[in-house]
Amino acid sequence: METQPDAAGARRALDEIAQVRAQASARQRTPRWMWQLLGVLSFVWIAVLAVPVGWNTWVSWLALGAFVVASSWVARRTGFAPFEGTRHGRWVAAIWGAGELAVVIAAVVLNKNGAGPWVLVTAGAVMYAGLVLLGPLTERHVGTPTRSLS
Amino acid sequence: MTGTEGVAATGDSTFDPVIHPPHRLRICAALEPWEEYEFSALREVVGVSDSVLSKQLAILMDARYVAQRRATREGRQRVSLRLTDEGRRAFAGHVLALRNIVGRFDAAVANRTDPGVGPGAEAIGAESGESLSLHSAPG
Repeated sequence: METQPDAAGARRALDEIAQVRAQASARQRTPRWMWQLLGVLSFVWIAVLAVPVGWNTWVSWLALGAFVVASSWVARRTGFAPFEGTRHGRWVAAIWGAGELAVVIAAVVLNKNGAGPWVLVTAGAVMYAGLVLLGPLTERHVGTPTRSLS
Repeated sequence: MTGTEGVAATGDSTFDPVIHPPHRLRICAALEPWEEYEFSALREVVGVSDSVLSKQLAILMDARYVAQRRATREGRQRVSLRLTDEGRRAFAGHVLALRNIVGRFDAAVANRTDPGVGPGAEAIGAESGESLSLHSAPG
């Protein structure tokens, strides 16, 4: 026999669960400005190869180092998808990492074969877009709206 | 879409008295979407002190619903917590049981034809035969 207090208590419990899930998820979701930061640094890393000073100098290593350090910092602070420690995150990391690596290798190879520096700039733009546009999408599953479950 | 849609709704619908107290319900709800969650982050989400969280976790660990892993990272000892498979099943069953209670009550109210008795009635006769106290004491 279901009484009104029983049902009200169950509703409260379901609302509580939804709220906690939203809080727990929001805490580990990456803020948009962090995606922007990573996007810009990844663009700089690739695009710097388009200028003569970028090849075989500390400039490109500095750009790469800045990207890696920023990624580590963001990952530690928020645990974005590739670092969130879930099966989903590992898949995102594997697919995304392979895709980005392929873009970089293809751009460098094309550039070395005379395609021109625009290839590297385009690759940088792809990296930027990949992080800024697709990054938040990879965390869509993390968020849950807080609303009544009744 | 509701906030508990992500909770797997497979298996039995079993009201679980180990999970239901508010703090433990919050702990399970916070852990459920993740493989692991850090102790300090969990404390913030659940909104309790270290000692209260430890006490509630101990009860969940005794029931084999939660497991912990200690690791040293950046020179500091971190405790990560996760719901075990058993814990996930129990939590999913508990959520399903809560939904069933609400669903049965709403259905009974909707089907009521007697305008003289509104939803404020003391009890709605349902087929379940289970009567659950949902006014649990904290922790």
